[in-house]
Amino acid sequence: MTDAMRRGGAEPVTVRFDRVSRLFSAVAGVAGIDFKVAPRECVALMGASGCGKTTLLRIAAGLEAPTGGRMSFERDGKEVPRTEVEIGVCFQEPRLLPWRNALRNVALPLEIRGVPKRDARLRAYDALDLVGLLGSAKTMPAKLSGGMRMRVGLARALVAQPKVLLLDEPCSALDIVTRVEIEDHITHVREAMHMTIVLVTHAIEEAAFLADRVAILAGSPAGVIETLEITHGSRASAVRDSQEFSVTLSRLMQSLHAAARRGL
Amino acid sequence: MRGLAGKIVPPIVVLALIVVAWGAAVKVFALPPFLVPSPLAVASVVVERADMLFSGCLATAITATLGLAIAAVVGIVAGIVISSSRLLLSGVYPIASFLQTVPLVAVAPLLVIWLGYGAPPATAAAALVALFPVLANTIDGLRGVDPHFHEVFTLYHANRFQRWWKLEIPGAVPGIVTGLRIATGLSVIGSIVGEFVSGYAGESAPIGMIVMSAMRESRTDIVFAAIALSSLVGLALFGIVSVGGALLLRAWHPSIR
Repeated sequence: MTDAMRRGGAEPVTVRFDRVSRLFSAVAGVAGIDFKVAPRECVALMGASGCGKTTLLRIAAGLEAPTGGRMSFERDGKEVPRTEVEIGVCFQEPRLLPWRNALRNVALPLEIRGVPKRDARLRAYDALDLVGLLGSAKTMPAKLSGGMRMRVGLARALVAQPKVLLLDEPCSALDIVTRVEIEDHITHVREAMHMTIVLVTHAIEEAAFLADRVAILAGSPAGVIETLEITHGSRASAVRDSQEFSVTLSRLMQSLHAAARRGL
Repeated sequence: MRGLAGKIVPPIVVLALIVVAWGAAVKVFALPPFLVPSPLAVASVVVERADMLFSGCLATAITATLGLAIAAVVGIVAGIVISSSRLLLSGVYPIASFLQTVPLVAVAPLLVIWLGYGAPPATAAAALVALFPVLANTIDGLRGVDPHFHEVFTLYHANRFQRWWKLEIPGAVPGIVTGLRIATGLSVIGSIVGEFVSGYAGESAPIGMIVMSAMRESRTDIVFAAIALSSLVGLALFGIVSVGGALLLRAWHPSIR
């Protein structure tokens, strides 16, 4: 935490898309994306495959540049450069370096930042503890199950105490039990770390459980056609069994159907 | 250990069958010894001329190893340098690929002109043939790192050195090991081709020289023995490099399991 504080990173961050476009052709890509993720808010991006959800996430991560508009970060109402915002990303595949064990994979972002080795290791242990993988610290990625690899990826995304967490279908390849576990982990750490989260997902349960709002993308090029507030109001694991949760799911489902009828 | 035995036993059985078939063919067709000697004759010449053959193998093994070492150092360093710049890569790599097609047998006399007789031109010939696979595999390994991993480094604002040291170099190790394994077999061939044309300066003739003089004396049994033993030299070097590579990669690479 001290490292993040020294960088003035203790305050939560706003993620702002300002008429962002990323066009691959006249009809392919995203256009006119205009929305704001408030500090400590979690917004889920949903929509048909190929509508550009991941593209938006990659723009937020700085891995792609928009062809129009601007994507920016704000802290206390003032814009801050990307290099000053701690960003954690969970890609669709965990992208663990196969020659590093779980611990050293998690420590990588800190190593790159120049955190001393001992310090980096200790913090990597903490991050692994957070996702319940302390026992597998010395295991190579190839020897971990898919769910465990995903959790190591999450630990790596969290190790530098990010203020912005970008999740690209973090649980799509996982069985339901592991998925629920990882969702609970994310909820748990998000409270503690005051993170602003952008989540790309196809799973309505995941969006309903993690997000405060769901933005639905459709059209060609795709834009945000609807934003739903999630109102069941609890992030306890048990909320999944509640009546309110079921209502949220069916609202989401209806909106996605409506979006699908409009087509890409 | 069942795995190891399972790997070693079948080829030995096949080899034994081939030797038996060879011996039978020599007997049945009554082949003259100067054309094809019997396995037994080859075995006995190995024992009779053990000193000469052993020191020949040693001399060839030394030139091959030295050539391989030179090729490894030059190939890896040059690979790193070349792949560090797009300009160098586009300028130098095609020429290196072209040089690879120059036949070594034709170059060997030139090496003798430049380096004199004996071991130096043979070592140079070994290094020359072994160089390209190391160079090419180093470059491919460094540049072939999964772009997904590069994105992880981009995300954390890694500098060029970190990207190189923590991503490209470890990612290139499997490729470099493959290059070295290919280069090992070639280095023995290169060494022997070098010896064919370079004669020898010291007291112990290398395998290439033993083959040449045995040929002139129609001692086909010695030629056979020399061929067999030189393959053993190649096999031994290959084994050492493979084991070294496996030790380096055993923790993570799917080829080792």
